[in-house]
Amino acid sequence: MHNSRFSLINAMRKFSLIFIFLFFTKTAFSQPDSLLIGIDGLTCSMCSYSVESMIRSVPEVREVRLDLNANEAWIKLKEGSAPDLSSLLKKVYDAGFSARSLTLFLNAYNIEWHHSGFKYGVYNFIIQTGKAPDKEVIILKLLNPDYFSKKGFKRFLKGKNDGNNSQFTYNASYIY
Amino acid sequence: MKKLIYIAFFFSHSLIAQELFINNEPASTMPKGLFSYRYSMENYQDENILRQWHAFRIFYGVTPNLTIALTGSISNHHPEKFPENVNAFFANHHSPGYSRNYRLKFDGFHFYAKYRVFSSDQQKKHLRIAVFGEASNTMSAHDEAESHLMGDNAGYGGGFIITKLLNRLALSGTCGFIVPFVYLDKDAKIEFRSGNSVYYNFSAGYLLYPSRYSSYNDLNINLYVELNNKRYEEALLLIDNQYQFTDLLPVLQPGQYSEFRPGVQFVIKSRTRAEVSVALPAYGRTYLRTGSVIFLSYQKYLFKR
Repeated sequence: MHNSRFSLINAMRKFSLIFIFLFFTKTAFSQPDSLLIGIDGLTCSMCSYSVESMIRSVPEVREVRLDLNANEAWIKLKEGSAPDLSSLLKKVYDAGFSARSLTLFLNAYNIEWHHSGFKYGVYNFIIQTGKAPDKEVIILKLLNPDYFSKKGFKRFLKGKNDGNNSQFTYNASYIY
Repeated sequence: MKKLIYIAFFFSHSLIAQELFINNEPASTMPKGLFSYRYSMENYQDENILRQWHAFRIFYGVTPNLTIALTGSISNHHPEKFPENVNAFFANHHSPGYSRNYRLKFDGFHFYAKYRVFSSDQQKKHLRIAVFGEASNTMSAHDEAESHLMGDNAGYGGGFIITKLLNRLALSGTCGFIVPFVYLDKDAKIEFRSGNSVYYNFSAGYLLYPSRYSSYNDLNINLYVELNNKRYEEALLLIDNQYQFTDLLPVLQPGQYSEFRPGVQFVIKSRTRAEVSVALPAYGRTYLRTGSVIFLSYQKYLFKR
Protein backbone atom coordinates (compact mmCIF):
# COMPACT_ATOMS: atom_id res chain seq x y z
CA MET A 1 0.00 0.00 0.00
CA HIS A 2 2.72 2.39 1.01
CA ASN A 3 4.98 1.43 -1.88
CA SER A 4 2.27 2.33 -4.32
CA ARG A 5 1.89 5.61 -2.49
CA PHE A 6 5.51 6.49 -3.10
CA SER A 7 5.58 5.29 -6.69
CA LEU A 8 2.62 7.59 -7.17
CA ILE A 9 4.68 10.44 -5.80
CA ASN A 10 7.41 9.69 -8.31
CA ALA A 11 4.87 9.64 -11.10
CA MET A 12 3.56 12.97 -9.97
CA ARG A 13 6.93 14.64 -9.95
CA LYS A 14 6.62 16.15 -13.40
CA PHE A 15 2.96 16.77 -13.73
CA SER A 16 1.34 17.59 -10.51
CA LEU A 17 1.08 20.47 -8.16
CA ILE A 18 1.56 20.00 -4.49
CA PHE A 19 0.05 22.60 -2.26
CA ILE A 20 2.19 24.01 0.43
CA PHE A 21 1.51 26.65 2.96
CA LEU A 22 4.27 29.14 3.49
CA PHE A 23 4.64 31.39 6.43
CA PHE A 24 7.56 33.41 7.54
CA THR A 25 8.89 34.36 10.90
CA LYS A 26 11.52 36.57 12.43
CA THR A 27 12.18 34.14 15.22
CA ALA A 28 15.87 33.48 15.47
CA PHE A 29 16.57 29.91 14.43
CA SER A 30 19.85 28.14 14.67
CA GLN A 31 21.47 26.73 11.63
CA PRO A 32 21.25 24.38 9.88
CA ASP A 33 17.82 23.55 8.48
CA SER A 34 15.36 21.49 10.51
CA LEU A 35 12.20 19.47 9.96
CA LEU A 36 9.23 18.51 12.04
CA ILE A 37 7.27 15.38 11.10
CA GLY A 38 3.93 14.62 12.78
CA ILE A 39 3.41 10.88 13.09
CA ASP A 40 0.10 9.01 13.28
CA GLY A 41 -0.83 5.56 14.52
CA LEU A 42 1.35 5.17 17.61
CA THR A 43 1.25 5.77 21.34
CA CYS A 44 3.94 3.67 22.99
CA SER A 45 7.58 4.64 23.44
CA MET A 46 8.79 1.47 21.72
CA CYS A 47 6.91 2.47 18.56
CA SER A 48 8.40 5.96 18.77
CA TYR A 49 11.86 4.50 19.19
CA SER A 50 11.45 2.45 16.01
CA VAL A 51 10.47 5.59 14.07
CA GLU A 52 13.42 7.51 15.48
CA SER A 53 15.82 4.70 14.57
CA MET A 54 14.52 4.66 11.02
CA ILE A 55 14.79 8.43 10.53
CA ARG A 56 18.30 8.43 11.98
CA SER A 57 19.42 6.16 9.14
CA VAL A 58 18.86 8.92 6.55
CA PRO A 59 22.32 10.25 5.59
CA GLU A 60 21.29 13.92 5.65
CA VAL A 61 19.98 13.68 9.21
CA ARG A 62 22.29 14.93 11.96
CA GLU A 63 20.01 14.50 14.96
CA VAL A 64 16.49 13.24 15.72
CA ARG A 65 14.43 13.77 18.83
CA LEU A 66 10.94 12.37 19.04
CA ASP A 67 8.37 14.00 21.29
CA LEU A 68 6.87 10.87 22.87
CA ASN A 69 3.67 12.61 23.96
CA ALA A 70 2.93 14.70 20.86
CA ASN A 71 4.30 12.03 18.47
CA GLU A 72 6.37 14.53 16.51
CA ALA A 73 9.90 13.99 15.25
CA TRP A 74 12.23 17.00 15.41
CA ILE A 75 14.99 16.50 12.89
CA LYS A 76 18.16 18.55 12.51
CA LEU A 77 19.80 18.24 9.15
CA LYS A 78 23.48 18.23 8.37
CA GLU A 79 24.73 21.60 7.24
CA GLY A 80 24.23 22.23 3.55
CA SER A 81 22.15 19.09 3.05
CA ALA A 82 18.66 18.87 1.62
CA PRO A 83 17.08 15.44 1.91
CA ASP A 84 14.66 13.83 -0.48
CA LEU A 85 11.46 14.52 1.44
CA SER A 86 9.60 11.49 0.10
CA SER A 87 12.38 9.12 1.17
CA LEU A 88 12.43 10.75 4.59
CA LEU A 89 8.69 10.24 4.99
CA LYS A 90 9.06 6.70 3.73
CA LYS A 91 11.13 5.95 6.82
CA VAL A 92 8.05 6.66 8.92
CA TYR A 93 6.08 4.16 6.82
CA ASP A 94 8.95 1.65 7.03
CA ALA A 95 8.63 1.80 10.80
CA GLY A 96 4.96 0.84 10.38
CA PHE A 97 3.28 4.23 10.90
CA SER A 98 1.98 7.21 8.93
CA ALA A 99 3.07 10.83 8.61
CA ARG A 100 0.39 13.45 9.16
CA SER A 101 2.45 16.60 8.52
CA LEU A 102 5.85 17.82 7.47
CA THR A 103 7.18 21.24 8.36
CA LEU A 104 10.50 22.59 7.11
CA PHE A 105 12.39 25.30 8.94
CA LEU A 106 14.76 26.72 6.37
CA ASN A 107 17.48 29.23 6.96
CA ALA A 108 16.88 31.97 4.39
CA TYR A 109 20.63 32.28 3.76
CA ASN A 110 20.80 28.65 2.63
CA ILE A 111 18.15 29.17 -0.01
CA GLU A 112 18.80 29.89 -3.63
CA TRP A 113 16.29 32.58 -4.59
CA HIS A 114 14.95 33.27 -8.06
CA HIS A 115 12.34 35.58 -9.47
CA SER A 116 9.29 33.53 -8.54
CA GLY A 117 10.42 31.56 -5.54
CA PHE A 118 13.40 29.57 -4.41
CA LYS A 119 15.24 26.34 -4.85
CA TYR A 120 15.85 23.91 -2.01
CA GLY A 121 17.75 20.76 -2.87
CA VAL A 122 15.98 19.11 -5.76
CA TYR A 123 12.79 21.06 -5.05
CA ASN A 124 11.78 24.27 -6.70
CA PHE A 125 9.19 26.21 -4.72
CA ILE A 126 7.16 28.89 -6.42
CA ILE A 127 5.64 31.58 -4.25
CA GLN A 128 2.45 32.81 -5.81
CA THR A 129 2.92 36.33 -4.48
CA GLY A 130 6.21 36.36 -6.38
CA LYS A 131 8.01 38.20 -3.60
CA ALA A 132 10.94 36.89 -1.63
CA PRO A 133 10.23 37.32 2.08
CA ASP A 134 12.61 39.40 4.12
CA LYS A 135 12.91 36.89 6.93
CA GLU A 136 15.66 34.83 8.50
CA VAL A 137 13.73 31.60 8.67
CA ILE A 138 11.18 30.29 6.22
CA ILE A 139 8.71 27.80 7.59
CA LEU A 140 7.13 25.54 5.00
CA LYS A 141 4.19 23.48 6.07
CA LEU A 142 4.05 20.92 3.33
CA LEU A 143 0.89 19.03 2.77
CA ASN A 144 -0.07 16.59 0.12
CA PRO A 145 -2.73 13.90 0.20
CA ASP A 146 -0.28 11.42 -1.26
CA TYR A 147 2.27 12.03 1.47
CA PHE A 148 -0.13 11.99 4.38
CA SER A 149 -3.19 10.19 5.61
CA LYS A 150 -6.48 11.30 4.06
CA LYS A 151 -7.91 12.20 7.44
CA GLY A 152 -4.87 14.29 8.32
CA PHE A 153 -5.18 16.11 5.02
CA LYS A 154 -8.89 16.79 5.57
CA ARG A 155 -8.21 18.02 9.08
CA PHE A 156 -5.65 20.44 7.73
CA LEU A 157 -8.00 21.76 5.04
CA LYS A 158 -10.63 22.36 7.70
CA GLY A 159 -8.10 24.42 9.64
CA LYS A 160 -8.00 22.01 12.56
CA ASN A 161 -4.40 21.07 12.15
CA ASP A 162 -2.69 23.55 14.44
CA GLY A 163 -4.61 26.80 14.07
CA ASN A 164 -1.34 28.60 13.57
CA ASN A 165 -1.07 28.95 9.84
CA SER A 166 -3.41 31.78 8.99
CA GLN A 167 -1.35 34.90 9.51
CA PHE A 168 1.44 34.31 7.06
CA THR A 169 0.00 31.64 4.87
CA TYR A 170 0.53 31.55 1.15
CA ASN A 171 -0.62 29.04 -1.35
CA ALA A 172 2.23 27.95 -3.49
CA SER A 173 2.94 25.35 -6.06
CA TYR A 174 6.08 23.33 -6.22
CA ILE A 175 7.73 21.68 -9.14
CA TYR A 176 10.74 19.43 -9.49
CA MET B 1 -21.01 -19.02 26.17
CA LYS B 2 -23.12 -15.87 26.19
CA LYS B 3 -21.86 -15.20 29.68
CA LEU B 4 -18.29 -15.40 28.48
CA ILE B 5 -18.96 -13.00 25.65
CA TYR B 6 -20.49 -10.52 28.09
CA ILE B 7 -17.47 -10.84 30.38
CA ALA B 8 -15.09 -10.34 27.45
CA PHE B 9 -17.09 -7.32 26.33
CA PHE B 10 -16.92 -5.86 29.84
CA PHE B 11 -13.17 -6.32 30.08
CA SER B 12 -12.53 -4.97 26.62
CA HIS B 13 -14.32 -1.75 27.54
CA SER B 14 -13.10 -1.30 31.08
CA LEU B 15 -9.47 -2.19 30.67
CA ILE B 16 -6.97 -0.20 28.73
CA ALA B 17 -3.70 -1.67 27.23
CA GLN B 18 -1.24 -1.56 24.41
CA GLU B 19 -1.13 -3.85 21.44
CA LEU B 20 2.01 -5.83 22.26
CA PHE B 21 -0.30 -8.64 23.28
CA ILE B 22 1.23 -11.45 25.27
CA ASN B 23 -0.59 -14.42 23.73
CA ASN B 24 -1.96 -13.14 20.44
CA GLU B 25 -0.30 -11.21 17.64
CA PRO B 26 -1.58 -7.72 16.76
CA ALA B 27 -2.40 -6.69 13.19
CA SER B 28 0.55 -4.30 13.33
CA THR B 29 3.80 -5.50 11.85
CA MET B 30 7.48 -5.09 12.68
CA PRO B 31 9.45 -2.14 11.29
CA LYS B 32 11.23 -2.92 8.04
CA GLY B 33 14.63 -4.53 8.56
CA LEU B 34 14.22 -4.95 12.32
CA PHE B 35 15.16 -8.19 14.09
CA SER B 36 13.74 -9.25 17.41
CA TYR B 37 14.11 -12.37 19.49
CA ARG B 38 11.84 -13.80 22.17
CA TYR B 39 12.24 -16.48 24.77
CA SER B 40 8.95 -17.91 26.06
CA MET B 41 8.20 -20.46 28.72
CA GLU B 42 4.88 -22.13 29.53
CA ASN B 43 4.47 -24.35 32.57
CA TYR B 44 1.64 -26.25 34.19
CA GLN B 45 1.36 -28.89 36.83
CA ASP B 46 0.23 -32.31 35.63
CA GLU B 47 -0.35 -34.19 38.89
CA ASN B 48 3.16 -34.33 40.37
CA ILE B 49 4.91 -33.52 37.09
CA LEU B 50 5.84 -30.03 35.94
CA ARG B 51 5.08 -29.84 32.24
CA GLN B 52 7.35 -27.37 30.49
CA TRP B 53 7.49 -25.74 27.10
CA HIS B 54 10.37 -23.47 26.14
CA ALA B 55 10.55 -21.62 22.84
CA PHE B 56 13.01 -19.34 21.13
CA ARG B 57 11.55 -17.16 18.40
CA ILE B 58 13.17 -14.80 15.91
CA PHE B 59 11.09 -12.06 14.23
CA TYR B 60 12.06 -10.05 11.17
CA GLY B 61 10.35 -7.17 9.39
CA VAL B 62 10.78 -8.03 5.71
CA THR B 63 8.81 -4.99 4.57
CA PRO B 64 6.78 -2.43 6.55
CA ASN B 65 3.77 -4.71 6.01
CA LEU B 66 5.30 -8.19 6.18
CA THR B 67 6.67 -9.81 9.33
CA ILE B 68 8.05 -13.34 9.51
CA ALA B 69 8.93 -15.39 12.57
CA LEU B 70 10.71 -18.70 13.10
CA THR B 71 10.32 -20.60 16.36
CA GLY B 72 12.09 -23.63 17.76
CA SER B 73 10.73 -25.25 20.90
CA ILE B 74 11.44 -27.98 23.42
CA SER B 75 8.94 -29.57 25.80
CA ASN B 76 8.23 -32.58 27.99
CA HIS B 77 4.57 -32.81 26.93
CA HIS B 78 4.74 -35.96 24.86
CA PRO B 79 6.68 -39.21 24.55
CA GLU B 80 8.94 -39.53 21.54
CA LYS B 81 6.74 -42.35 20.28
CA PHE B 82 3.42 -43.82 21.34
CA PRO B 83 3.85 -46.68 23.82
CA GLU B 84 3.31 -50.28 22.75
CA ASN B 85 -0.15 -50.67 24.24
CA VAL B 86 -1.53 -47.71 22.41
CA ASN B 87 -5.21 -48.41 23.07
CA ALA B 88 -4.62 -48.39 26.81
CA PHE B 89 -2.53 -45.24 26.40
CA PHE B 90 -5.31 -43.36 24.60
CA ALA B 91 -7.92 -44.65 27.04
CA ASN B 92 -6.06 -43.73 30.20
CA HIS B 93 -3.58 -41.04 29.31
CA HIS B 94 -5.56 -38.23 30.90
CA SER B 95 -6.86 -40.28 33.81
CA PRO B 96 -5.68 -39.60 37.36
CA GLY B 97 -2.53 -41.51 38.23
CA TYR B 98 -1.55 -42.15 34.62
CA SER B 99 0.72 -39.15 34.01
CA ARG B 100 4.23 -40.05 32.92
CA ASN B 101 7.31 -37.95 33.11
CA TYR B 102 8.84 -37.54 29.66
CA ARG B 103 12.23 -36.04 29.04
CA LEU B 104 12.58 -32.59 27.49
CA LYS B 105 12.98 -33.02 23.76
CA PHE B 106 13.11 -30.82 20.69
CA ASP B 107 9.59 -30.39 19.24
CA GLY B 108 10.44 -28.89 15.86
CA PHE B 109 10.16 -25.59 14.04
CA HIS B 110 7.23 -23.28 13.53
CA PHE B 111 7.10 -20.66 10.77
CA TYR B 112 4.77 -17.67 10.87
CA ALA B 113 4.17 -14.87 8.35
CA LYS B 114 1.86 -11.90 8.81
CA TYR B 115 0.92 -9.35 6.16
CA ARG B 116 -0.78 -6.09 7.01
CA VAL B 117 -3.43 -5.47 4.35
CA PHE B 118 -5.14 -2.38 5.74
CA SER B 119 -4.09 0.59 7.86
CA SER B 120 -5.97 3.69 8.88
CA ASP B 121 -3.78 5.81 11.11
CA GLN B 122 -4.66 8.90 13.09
CA GLN B 123 -2.92 10.69 15.92
CA LYS B 124 -2.58 8.08 18.71
CA LYS B 125 -5.14 5.87 16.97
CA HIS B 126 -5.25 3.29 14.28
CA LEU B 127 -7.31 0.50 12.77
CA ARG B 128 -5.36 -2.27 11.13
CA ILE B 129 -6.12 -5.59 9.48
CA ALA B 130 -3.62 -8.33 8.77
CA VAL B 131 -3.72 -11.85 7.35
CA PHE B 132 -1.36 -14.56 8.51
CA GLY B 133 -0.21 -18.06 7.66
CA GLU B 134 1.74 -20.54 9.74
CA ALA B 135 3.26 -23.99 9.38
CA SER B 136 4.98 -26.43 11.69
CA ASN B 137 7.09 -29.54 11.20
CA THR B 138 6.63 -30.75 14.77
CA MET B 139 6.37 -34.52 14.91
CA SER B 140 5.56 -35.23 18.52
CA ALA B 141 3.46 -38.21 19.56
CA HIS B 142 0.59 -35.84 20.21
CA ASP B 143 -2.40 -37.83 21.39
CA GLU B 144 -5.34 -35.41 21.47
CA ALA B 145 -8.10 -34.34 19.12
CA GLU B 146 -7.18 -30.70 19.61
CA SER B 147 -4.59 -29.60 17.10
CA HIS B 148 -1.91 -27.11 18.07
CA LEU B 149 0.98 -26.08 15.83
CA MET B 150 3.39 -24.71 18.42
CA GLY B 151 5.07 -27.84 19.75
CA ASP B 152 2.34 -30.46 19.24
CA ASN B 153 1.31 -31.03 15.62
CA ALA B 154 2.86 -30.70 12.20
CA GLY B 155 0.49 -28.86 9.90
CA TYR B 156 -0.51 -25.49 8.63
CA GLY B 157 -2.96 -22.75 9.42
CA GLY B 158 -3.99 -19.21 8.71
CA GLY B 159 -6.38 -16.44 9.60
CA PHE B 160 -6.83 -12.74 10.04
CA ILE B 161 -6.38 -10.14 12.76
CA ILE B 162 -8.19 -6.86 13.33
CA THR B 163 -6.63 -4.41 15.81
CA LYS B 164 -7.93 -1.06 17.00
CA LEU B 165 -5.73 1.34 18.97
CA LEU B 166 -7.47 4.14 20.86
CA ASN B 167 -4.91 6.21 22.73
CA ARG B 168 -3.92 3.99 25.66
CA LEU B 169 -6.35 1.20 24.86
CA ALA B 170 -5.83 -1.52 22.26
CA LEU B 171 -8.44 -4.07 21.20
CA SER B 172 -7.84 -6.95 18.87
CA GLY B 173 -9.58 -9.98 17.42
CA THR B 174 -7.89 -12.99 15.84
CA CYS B 175 -9.72 -15.65 13.85
CA GLY B 176 -7.87 -18.64 12.46
CA PHE B 177 -7.81 -22.32 11.54
CA ILE B 178 -5.40 -25.23 11.93
CA VAL B 179 -5.07 -28.23 9.62
CA PRO B 180 -2.80 -30.86 11.21
CA PHE B 181 -0.80 -33.45 9.29
CA VAL B 182 -0.84 -37.18 10.02
CA TYR B 183 1.59 -38.49 12.62
CA LEU B 184 2.97 -41.76 11.30
CA ASP B 185 4.85 -44.37 13.33
CA LYS B 186 5.80 -46.97 10.75
CA ASP B 187 7.32 -49.40 13.25
CA ALA B 188 4.24 -49.53 15.44
CA LYS B 189 1.97 -49.15 12.38
CA ILE B 190 0.15 -46.22 13.97
CA GLU B 191 -1.38 -43.36 12.06
CA PHE B 192 -2.78 -40.55 14.11
CA ARG B 193 -4.30 -37.28 13.04
CA SER B 194 -5.68 -34.62 15.36
CA GLY B 195 -8.84 -32.86 14.25
CA ASN B 196 -8.98 -29.58 12.35
CA SER B 197 -9.42 -26.58 14.62
CA VAL B 198 -10.84 -23.10 14.40
CA TYR B 199 -10.16 -20.43 16.99
CA TYR B 200 -11.35 -16.92 17.71
CA ASN B 201 -9.43 -14.92 20.26
CA PHE B 202 -10.00 -11.46 21.73
CA SER B 203 -7.35 -9.29 23.31
CA ALA B 204 -7.49 -6.03 25.21
CA GLY B 205 -4.58 -4.08 26.59
CA TYR B 206 -4.05 -0.84 28.46
CA LEU B 207 -0.99 1.33 28.89
CA LEU B 208 -1.17 1.79 32.66
CA TYR B 209 2.10 3.60 33.24
CA PRO B 210 3.46 6.14 32.55
CA SER B 211 0.61 8.55 32.10
CA ARG B 212 3.06 10.88 30.38
CA TYR B 213 6.44 10.04 28.89
CA SER B 214 9.61 11.83 29.94
CA SER B 215 12.10 9.68 27.99
CA TYR B 216 12.63 6.36 26.28
CA ASN B 217 13.92 5.03 29.58
CA ASP B 218 10.51 5.28 31.23
CA LEU B 219 9.27 1.88 32.32
CA ASN B 220 6.01 1.02 30.55
CA ILE B 221 3.50 -1.14 32.39
CA ASN B 222 0.79 -2.66 30.22
CA LEU B 223 -2.15 -4.69 31.46
CA TYR B 224 -3.76 -7.31 29.28
CA VAL B 225 -6.70 -9.64 29.27
CA GLU B 226 -7.12 -12.12 26.44
CA LEU B 227 -9.91 -14.58 25.81
CA ASN B 228 -8.91 -17.58 23.73
CA ASN B 229 -11.58 -19.85 22.24
CA LYS B 230 -11.05 -22.96 20.18
CA ARG B 231 -13.26 -25.58 18.59
CA TYR B 232 -11.71 -28.84 17.33
CA GLU B 233 -12.89 -31.84 15.38
CA GLU B 234 -12.59 -35.55 16.11
CA ALA B 235 -9.20 -37.24 15.83
CA LEU B 236 -8.46 -40.15 13.49
CA LEU B 237 -6.58 -43.21 14.74
CA LEU B 238 -5.48 -46.19 12.64
CA ILE B 239 -3.55 -49.11 14.06
CA ASP B 240 -2.20 -51.59 11.57
CA ASN B 241 -4.35 -49.86 8.95
CA GLN B 242 -7.47 -50.57 11.00
CA TYR B 243 -9.73 -47.67 11.87
CA GLN B 244 -10.15 -47.39 15.62
CA PHE B 245 -13.48 -46.34 17.02
CA THR B 246 -12.81 -43.36 19.21
CA ASP B 247 -16.30 -42.85 20.63
CA LEU B 248 -15.28 -44.07 24.06
CA LEU B 249 -12.08 -42.06 24.17
CA PRO B 250 -12.92 -38.50 25.27
CA VAL B 251 -9.45 -37.26 24.41
CA LEU B 252 -10.11 -38.05 20.74
CA GLN B 253 -13.60 -36.58 20.59
CA PRO B 254 -14.48 -33.16 19.17
CA GLY B 255 -14.73 -30.35 21.66
CA GLN B 256 -14.34 -26.70 22.43
CA TYR B 257 -13.04 -24.55 25.22
CA SER B 258 -12.45 -20.97 26.29
CA GLU B 259 -9.82 -19.61 28.60
CA PHE B 260 -8.99 -16.21 30.07
CA ARG B 261 -5.43 -15.04 29.97
CA PRO B 262 -4.83 -12.01 32.14
CA GLY B 263 -1.28 -10.70 32.09
CA VAL B 264 1.07 -7.85 32.83
CA GLN B 265 3.92 -6.58 30.69
CA PHE B 266 6.91 -4.40 31.41
CA VAL B 267 8.58 -2.54 28.54
CA ILE B 268 12.10 -1.59 29.57
CA LYS B 269 13.97 1.27 27.90
CA SER B 270 11.61 1.02 24.91
CA ARG B 271 13.59 -1.95 23.59
CA THR B 272 12.79 -4.92 25.80
CA ARG B 273 9.56 -6.47 27.01
CA ALA B 274 9.12 -8.90 29.87
CA GLU B 275 5.70 -10.34 30.58
CA VAL B 276 3.78 -12.87 32.54
CA SER B 277 0.29 -14.21 31.98
CA VAL B 278 -1.88 -16.98 33.36
CA ALA B 279 -4.33 -19.14 31.41
CA LEU B 280 -7.47 -19.78 33.43
CA PRO B 281 -9.97 -22.34 32.07
CA ALA B 282 -13.38 -20.75 31.60
CA TYR B 283 -15.50 -23.10 29.51
CA GLY B 284 -15.21 -26.58 28.04
CA ARG B 285 -12.00 -28.52 28.22
CA THR B 286 -8.63 -28.57 26.57
CA TYR B 287 -6.62 -31.76 26.83
CA LEU B 288 -3.48 -29.95 25.79
CA ARG B 289 -2.93 -28.78 29.36
CA THR B 290 -4.26 -29.49 32.81
CA GLY B 291 -5.56 -26.69 35.00
CA SER B 292 -4.03 -23.25 34.99
CA VAL B 293 -0.98 -22.41 32.95
CA ILE B 294 1.69 -19.81 33.64
CA PHE B 295 3.36 -18.12 30.71
CA LEU B 296 6.57 -16.07 30.89
CA SER B 297 8.22 -14.27 28.03
CA TYR B 298 11.18 -11.99 27.38
CA GLN B 299 11.60 -10.18 24.06
CA LYS B 300 14.37 -7.92 22.82
CA TYR B 301 14.08 -5.62 19.78
CA LEU B 302 17.40 -5.08 18.02
CA PHE B 303 17.04 -1.46 16.93
CA LYS B 304 19.88 0.05 14.96
CA ARG B 305 21.67 2.73 16.92
